[in-house]
Amino acid sequence: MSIVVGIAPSQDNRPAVELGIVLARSYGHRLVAVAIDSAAWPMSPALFESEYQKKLRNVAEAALDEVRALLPDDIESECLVHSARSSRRGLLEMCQKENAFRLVVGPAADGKPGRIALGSVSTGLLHSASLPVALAPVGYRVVPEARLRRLTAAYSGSSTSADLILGAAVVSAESGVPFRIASFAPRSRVISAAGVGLDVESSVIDEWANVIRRDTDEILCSIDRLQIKPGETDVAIGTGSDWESALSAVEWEDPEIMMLGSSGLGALKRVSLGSHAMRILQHSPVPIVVVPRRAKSDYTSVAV
Amino acid sequence: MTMATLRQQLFRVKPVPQQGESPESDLKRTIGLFSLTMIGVGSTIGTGIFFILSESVPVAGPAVIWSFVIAGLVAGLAVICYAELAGSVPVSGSSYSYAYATLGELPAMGVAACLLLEYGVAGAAVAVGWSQYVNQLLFNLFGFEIPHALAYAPEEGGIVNLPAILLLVMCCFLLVRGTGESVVINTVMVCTKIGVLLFFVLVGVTGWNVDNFADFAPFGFSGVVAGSGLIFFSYVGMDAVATAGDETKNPKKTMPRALIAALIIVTTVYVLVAVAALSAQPWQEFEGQTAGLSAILENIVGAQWPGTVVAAGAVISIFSVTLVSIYGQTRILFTMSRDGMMPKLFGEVNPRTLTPVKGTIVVTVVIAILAGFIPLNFLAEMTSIGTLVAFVVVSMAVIILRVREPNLERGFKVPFYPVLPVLAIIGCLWIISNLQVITIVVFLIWTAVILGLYFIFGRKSSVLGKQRAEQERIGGSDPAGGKL
Repeated sequence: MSIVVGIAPSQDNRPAVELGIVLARSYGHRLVAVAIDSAAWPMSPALFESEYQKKLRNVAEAALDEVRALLPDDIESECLVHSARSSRRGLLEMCQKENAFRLVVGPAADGKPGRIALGSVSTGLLHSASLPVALAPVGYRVVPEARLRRLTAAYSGSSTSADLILGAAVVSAESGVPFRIASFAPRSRVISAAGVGLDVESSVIDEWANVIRRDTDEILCSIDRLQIKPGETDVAIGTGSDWESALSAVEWEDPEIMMLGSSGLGALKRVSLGSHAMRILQHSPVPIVVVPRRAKSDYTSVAV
Repeated sequence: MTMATLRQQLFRVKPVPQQGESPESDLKRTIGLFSLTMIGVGSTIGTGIFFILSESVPVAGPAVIWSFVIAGLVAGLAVICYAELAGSVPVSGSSYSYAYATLGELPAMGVAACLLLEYGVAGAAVAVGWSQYVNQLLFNLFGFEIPHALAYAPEEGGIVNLPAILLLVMCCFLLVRGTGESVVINTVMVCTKIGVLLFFVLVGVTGWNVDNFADFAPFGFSGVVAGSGLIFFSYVGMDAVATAGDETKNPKKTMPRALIAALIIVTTVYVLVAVAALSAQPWQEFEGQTAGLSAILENIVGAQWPGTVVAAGAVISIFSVTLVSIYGQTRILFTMSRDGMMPKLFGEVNPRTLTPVKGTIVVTVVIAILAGFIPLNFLAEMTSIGTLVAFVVVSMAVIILRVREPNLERGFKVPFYPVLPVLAIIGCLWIISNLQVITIVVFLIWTAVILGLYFIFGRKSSVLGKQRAEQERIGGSDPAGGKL
């Protein structure tokens, strides 16, 4: 199996490559960096068209040359240019061909430093990928020879996310990475006119935390019954006045990744992330691995 | 093992978290004088003014202006007492929690009965008022009215008040989705209603006719007081100021100033609206008038548009009041459920939406039944009596706490103690005595039902009671002592 890293010509590919390297090293897979030459329409014989295509291929090769310089010797790696009608389609084709374990993509060019920013290609991938997609934050860097120090699975309180956590537990068990379940919630501002006190929502959040603790205890019991289970398990609950402070309320290892499930309940097929998941994605201080709807059954079946 | 005596059970008080002990004390003091005043103004204005004139003017005549002032003064006195309790007992859950921490479990259940009535019936009352304005708006815009049978309670000749039920369902949906969205929508609606009332006053005074004030107090002073009773629930939002005590900067100075400022602003707006309305239309015409403010403007201007603006504003702003009522009700039930005083259902939080979904739905269904089938004036009186009794208990709690815990640190102290708490109690009792007998009887029955529930359910499932029993079992001291 392999970790496929999508390389975008003329963009900063280092975050995606660094994340790809950590995943490849931690899971013991080969890394395949793929630049898509997306002008590969059926070409007209006109000279102009093939010149254009040649130029694009050169740009892609140049991007891969930069990537080669980043790849360390301790992991098996390969750099390829692949022609396809679109970047999204090309990456998915390569994932299938390479029997990919994860697809890694970088942030959109206009993202905030340290945060994940979805671009058109990554958004499209979340809707159509049938394997987990890892998203690197803007400016993501790791120290040389780093391995994942923990895998956190975000739990939203639904049964679908509980299944996902079991799948994530198996993955971290197989790769010997410590495992954690985390839930996050912002403390809503209270409707001041209700006359019930401005701190009443604190009790609601406390009760939510109790529910989450009870649920995660049950999930931990299920993890204990798995044939192969992670060595270390932990539970974290982050609350704060907004999503950003809720996510910073728990401590994070370096490097660490967080697994996030797409909403299994969305009525619209094109919406793959629920509103909570999207908020977590936008404010996460660590890379996120999204398990798209199409990938969910494969992903969770390993735990059953 | 000795069992706690019945008296010890009924009057066991919930220990107050000391400063630095509770998560609540992590709250930052961020609210200043202006914000606190705006909380008071925003939460109070609009609760009843859009439709209470047609209920109170027939009782008091043009002297209803004084009814507003009296109701405002009594509310102000009680709210100052609230402020002292809020500053010394840092718990959420409104006066129920204050009573639990100062007077004991049974009185707390009594207060809870008042609060549940106040919030539940206020939600129903404003929803009923809303349906009148929806009808007015529909007629002005589309020349269409919801059939009488589907827009009025049975006693008013209809079958069911459908728009009121629809409004409650919409509020429920919003609250179930999440508090964040509700807060934003509420803020927008509060601004709308203040704008619309000012618009009413500006247009209303153009129809000034001094003759309308000639017969100023047709029913004398008792009419004025009876009017105050009806109007009182228009001031219930004031206690929002007091409940912000824990988050107010320099509460000793800020709270009374904000309360007084908010009371003056609110009472001024109410009086201005009442004066503008009364100057434009003889007081006898208010009786039975639906969507009163809209109708008055239409009569003055002779055109539909100002009335349409007011009706649209009322439709939007009354929505916010209903939202707040359901919200308040669910959060009080939530607090009670966590204390073991209500079934667990009300304390369950949906992990996806972070809201007490089941509790919100139950509350909405009950309020919808009230709103669908009970006429407005009765609901208004029921809200007032709930609030008034809660205020009496709070004022008494201030006195009791001063005697029992003289050294407790208080963020804010009632000035002119004990004169103001005593005046607050007298004022509230005086207004209660002027309510209809049926209101008082129904209120007593309701309180008896809630206390009955306590004896059957709450007394045994009380979390505090279980803790005390556990302490007793392991040989702890003072199992039912109930010191703060």
